[in-house]
Formats: sequence, C-alpha cells, structure tokens
Amino acid sequence: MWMFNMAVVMVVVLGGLIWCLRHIAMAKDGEE
Amino acid sequence: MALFLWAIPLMAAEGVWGKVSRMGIIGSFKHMCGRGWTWAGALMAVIVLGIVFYYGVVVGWCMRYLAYAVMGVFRPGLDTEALWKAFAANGMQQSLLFALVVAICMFITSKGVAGGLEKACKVMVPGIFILLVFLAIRAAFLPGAVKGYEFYFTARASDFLNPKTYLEAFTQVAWSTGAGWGLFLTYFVYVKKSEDIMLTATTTCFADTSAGFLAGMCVIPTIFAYSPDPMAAVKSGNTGLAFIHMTKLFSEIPGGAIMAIAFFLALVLAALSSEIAMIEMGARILEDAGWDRKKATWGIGITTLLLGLPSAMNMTFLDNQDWVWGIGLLLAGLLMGLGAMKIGVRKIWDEHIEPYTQMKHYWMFAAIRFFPVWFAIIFGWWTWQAITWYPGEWYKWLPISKYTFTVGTMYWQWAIAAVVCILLNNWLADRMTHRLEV
Repeated sequence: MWMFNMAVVMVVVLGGLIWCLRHIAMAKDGEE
Repeated sequence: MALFLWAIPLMAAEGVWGKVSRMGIIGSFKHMCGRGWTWAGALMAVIVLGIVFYYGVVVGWCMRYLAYAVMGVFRPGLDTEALWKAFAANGMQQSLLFALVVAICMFITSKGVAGGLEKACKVMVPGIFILLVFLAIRAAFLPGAVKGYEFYFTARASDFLNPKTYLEAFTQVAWSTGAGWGLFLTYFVYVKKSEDIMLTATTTCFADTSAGFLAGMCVIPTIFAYSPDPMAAVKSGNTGLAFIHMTKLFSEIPGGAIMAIAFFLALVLAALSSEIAMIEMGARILEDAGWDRKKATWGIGITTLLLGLPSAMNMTFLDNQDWVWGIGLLLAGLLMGLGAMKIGVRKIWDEHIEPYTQMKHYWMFAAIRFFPVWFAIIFGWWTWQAITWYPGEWYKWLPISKYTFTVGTMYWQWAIAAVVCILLNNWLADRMTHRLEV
C-alpha cells in the first residue's frame, strides 16, 4: 500500500512542479 | 489542501502588492490600501525582521556543521549530542558565524536583484534539488530503508479524522512556503507587468513541497535504517534531528562522510537563500524611503547584526524569538488577507491577476476570503497548546527566563510592535515615497 501512496504523492507533488515549470517555459517561448 | 487554501492565495496577493505598487512591504500597503494602512505593512515588516535577526544564527549553525563534515569530524563513536551542546553553549563562535552569514547576504544583496540575488539563486536552488535527489537515491539503497518508506507513506484513516493533522499541515505550509512573509511581495517589485502571478505562486508552492518531499525521502529512510529508536529521532524536532540524530547516522553509516557534506551543503544553500531574501526585503523598505542600494544594504545589514547578536549569544532568547515571530507569521498572513478584502478580492483578481495569467481559476485566489477563519483556528490552537504548557503561568512574559514559549511573551511582544507601528503610521507613510521605476 505504501508504494501506491508514494506513487500518488510523487505524481501530485513532482508532477505539479513539472507542469508549472513547463507552462513557465511555454510562456517564455511565446514572448520570444 | 493547505497549499491551495493558504499559501497560493496569500502569495498571489503579495505578488499583486509588489507588482502594482513597485514598493516593499510598508510602501505597498500604503499604496494599495491607503495611508491609514501603512502600520499594517510596518507590522508585517517587524514580524519578518524579527525572524531575520535570529534566522542568520541558524544559517551559521548549518555552515559550522558543513565545515565539520568537510573536516571529517563525523567519525564512528562520536558523541553528537555532546558536540551539539558544546557548540550551542559557545556564544562567541555562533556570533562570528552569524557575522559571516550577514556579510555574505550583504555582499549578494548589494549587487542588486539581477546581479546578486538572481545569480545566487540560479546556483543555489538547482543545487538544493541536485543534492536532495542524490541523498534520496543514496538513502534508498540503505538496508532497512523500506521501514522508513512504510512509515512515511502509510496513511491511517484515524489520522484523517484527527483535526491536529490539518492544523499541523496548515502550520507547516505557512512556515515552509514563506507565504505572508513579504518575500514574494519584494521579489514582485522587480518583475515585468505581464508576469503571471498565479503560475509563479503555484510553482513556488509546488517547488517548496517537492523539496520537502525529497528531504523526507532522504531523512526518514536513513533514520529508520540505522537509528536504534527511529520515533525518538523523528520527534526530536528540527534541531535535534539535523544536528544530533542525522549527524550520528552520518558518522556511523558507510559513505556517511559524503552524505554529511551533501546534507549540510543543501541545508546551507536552503537557509542562505531564505536569509538573503529576508535581507533584500529589509533593503527594499529602506530604498522606498529614498536610500540608495549600497546604503540600504549597509543599513539592514548592521541592524541585523546588532539585533541578532542576543540570539547568537543566548539560545533561550533565540528560542523565544522563534516562538514569538514564528507564530507572528500567521498574523502577517492575516494582515495580507484583510488588506486584500479591504480592496476587494474580485477587483484584485479582475484588474491585476486574471488579465495576465494562464491559470484562470478565480477560486484559487478567492480562498483568501477564508483567512480570518484559518487564522482563528490555527492561532487559537497554538494559544491553547501554549496555555497547557504553562498551567497557571501562561501569561508570564520575560524572554530570557523559563517562560520562553508562553502566550504572555508572544502577546506582549506583538502588542508592543503593533502599538509602535500604529503610532509611527503617519511618519512612515510620509517616508515611503520612492517607487521603483520599471
């Protein structure tokens, strides 16, 4: 069970960060 | 939950304050909410400066332990508790380290935002993540690390039904993300008008949570793999965990010397980047009063050095200041929330956030309306806890005494700060006149 929980936390936390960074990069590309 | 209900809306409000007013905490409150609210910005500044003055001492501890790690002090059989107690009792050594920390922060801040802060953060922040990933991977290969993961990732239904879980989550988020400290506000003084506030606030919160998550992936498996009493180590608080228990493990485990260097280097980078941001916050306030950057940096640096020395010399005083101004951050958040409600939450969203953001979710900002409720619950909980720690004596207040964590000492110091800020309202408002030209 703990492995499933770890996977969920990883997807939410690290996935959330990657999603944000990707959108910042896209916004920067749009400006250039 | 706590990120979305507390940190993100608060940071978004801070971003608006900085970007629209182009002034630091005090000037931005005057600009956004009117002259009569200048005191609120000043009180926020006092709370954060109260933290700056002792936090530099903690950065000094991390630097000393990094030096210990590099010098190979952590060897098998080392009594890490005795090492910590000897260091904690040495006020002179802590003062010198504190002075070094302030000097580093002043040097970086004096170079300006693009030339100093941005360059330093571009190295420090990725550095923290690289070190944490390295430590987490190393910890995964320790025999018995699985016990740590089981502890870290096992969710019990009883915990979800326990109100304390939610209160601690909100408290953690309030401290860890830095929402309501005015740091985000200060950085947003320098951004371009089209900067996406919601996306930046959300990124900051997720980056902070990711760093915390990775730190847990390094610390908890290591403790459960090697500590004879893992629960005692986990419950020993941040200071005991980092400087006594983790140090003990590093001195015993294979490859511990390298892990110790990586661990304390990550701590130094994380702590230093926060201290630099706080010094910048103080310097920006002085610049708003017409000081040039060099003079402002010296002004805040010397003030930090003088007012931080009592914390460097006396650990009880440091603990007291951590208690008073650490909880004070909740008050700072409340002031920010009340300021936003005074202007109008919808108005702020429509005029300053929505036109420039990809994340057009109004609810993410509207949650700021609930701030008085969160404040009442979390602050009430802390107050009640502190009363139970000192039965019959909770109202006593002397900072350097056995009454370090009383409700009395917190309320008195807050009250003095609030009265001074209110009395100086007009004087401060007259001086906050120099907006940054962008």
